Amino acid sequence: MKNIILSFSAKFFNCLHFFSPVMLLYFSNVVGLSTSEFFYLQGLFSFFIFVLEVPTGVIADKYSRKLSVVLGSVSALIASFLMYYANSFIDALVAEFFIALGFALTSGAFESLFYDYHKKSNLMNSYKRNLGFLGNISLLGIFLSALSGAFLSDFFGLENIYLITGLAVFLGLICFMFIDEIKNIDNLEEKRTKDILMSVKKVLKSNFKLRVLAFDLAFVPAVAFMGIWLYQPFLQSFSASVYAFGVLHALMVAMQVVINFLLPYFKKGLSFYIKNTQFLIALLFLCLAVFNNIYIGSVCLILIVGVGMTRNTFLNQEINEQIESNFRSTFFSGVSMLNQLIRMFLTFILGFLISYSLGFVSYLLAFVMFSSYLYLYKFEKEL
Amino acid sequence: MKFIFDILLLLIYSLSVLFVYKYGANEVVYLIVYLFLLRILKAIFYFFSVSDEFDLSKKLIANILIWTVIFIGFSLPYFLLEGINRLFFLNFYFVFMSLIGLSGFTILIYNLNVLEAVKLTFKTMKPKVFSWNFCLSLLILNLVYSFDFQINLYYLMPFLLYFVTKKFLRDFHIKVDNNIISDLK
Repeated sequence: MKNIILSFSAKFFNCLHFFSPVMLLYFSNVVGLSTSEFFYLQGLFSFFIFVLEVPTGVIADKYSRKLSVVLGSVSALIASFLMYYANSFIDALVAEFFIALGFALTSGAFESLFYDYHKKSNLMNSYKRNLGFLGNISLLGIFLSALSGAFLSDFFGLENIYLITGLAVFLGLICFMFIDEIKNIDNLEEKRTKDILMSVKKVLKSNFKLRVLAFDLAFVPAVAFMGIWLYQPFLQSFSASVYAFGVLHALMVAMQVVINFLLPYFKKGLSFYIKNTQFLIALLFLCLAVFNNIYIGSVCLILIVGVGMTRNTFLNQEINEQIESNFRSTFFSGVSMLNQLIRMFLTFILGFLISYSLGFVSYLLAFVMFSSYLYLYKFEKEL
Repeated sequence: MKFIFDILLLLIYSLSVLFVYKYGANEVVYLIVYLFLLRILKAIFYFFSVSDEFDLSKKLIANILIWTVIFIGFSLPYFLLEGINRLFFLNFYFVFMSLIGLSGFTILIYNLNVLEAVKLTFKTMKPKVFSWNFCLSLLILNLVYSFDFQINLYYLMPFLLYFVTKKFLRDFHIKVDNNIISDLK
């Protein structure tokens, strides 16, 4: 039980990303980067995570999962210090590499460790419930850090925000150090990450209908995710207060929770909602481009992220029966990997175009989403 | 394959508006973009069996340009009037344009002269305009107008043109088909 409580605590501390609502402000005002460079950096961060998945899985298998998560936290701690001292694109890139390394070392190994503790303590009947609780804890961490990040950066100074985040990472590291070591039975991590990479190939080689479905599942949340990248340059263009950044980010997280909680009650309208979410997101991106108003734009961004990021939860339930059970997990792993790839690609494009105009980027996202709506509507109708 | 027609329409409208936004400092650029747009539209309409003819004859261009001058003439008071007069004109303009505003498409698709096109458009649109739905949309227009919005019209234009085109095709019961593309294959 001690290990499970420590796992909850470690997860909570690791999700306290105090820098998240003021990232763009930090990179532009403290590090001295342009908005385009900021987006290139985030694109490269996604690329590092993608590349580091396999080698970090080897560490978890060859040595131990505990070592992997401890090293992950150490890497994140180093990244916090590097980011504090960063004053150029290269400095920030090195720091982002360490953040990605920490993320890749922790992600898969932590989930396996959490599973192993339940198995070892004969608590498998409460595993699913605790896994859900773990998800809620991470959302709580993100929500609280989004709200408090702006306040902390205003109170202690924007330049210290990565040091404060480092403190939370340090607390997570302490939790990880006190959890028990579990001997690895087989090379699960390496196999898991290799399987995930192979799943993309398998999904792309599947039949046409499944390929379209995979594209649908990967593409829509990836475009909606751009709302998270856009809100900071959007608020910056209105010279909004630092608190507005925190509140908007927290509202985006809250909207996802609200939609996830409320939507299952509207069973009759669910399929209509799924079929038309792309149209809704396109309309919201268009409103963001057309209306030169901070309030209308903020509402649009909250809805884009809330609707777009939760859509798959409901769509997955609808299409589960369409996929053979032995291909299901491969399919969803492949979709998640495709989503990351599309997200990375879009982040680079966004970085290139954002220097021209924020409105143009929003228009382009509306255009892309509307085109995918026209293309995918026929297939979704068949579901 | 109907989605290709839709995406092409939206793309060509977007590119035209983008070009005007970037280089549209004088009337010559507007005219060139407008003629280019007409040429592409006519081709798209032909390839998707919306229109029977591919060529954009001189007579057709002359008719469309006459209609465009009339259209601009009727739109001018909006920029000249102010206050309550502008609101009154806007309501009149909305009704008037709903009745015959789509004549440009009628000329382009059916190869008619201005008078014939206006008559046909009026005949087709009359039952749609004199309805409760239209009254409701007029009310919404007045409500929206009462708010002081700052909007970037350039970003709205391509989608507005796309939905107007779709409305025209729906109201005139024109089916989009890709027979010609299939034949070419």
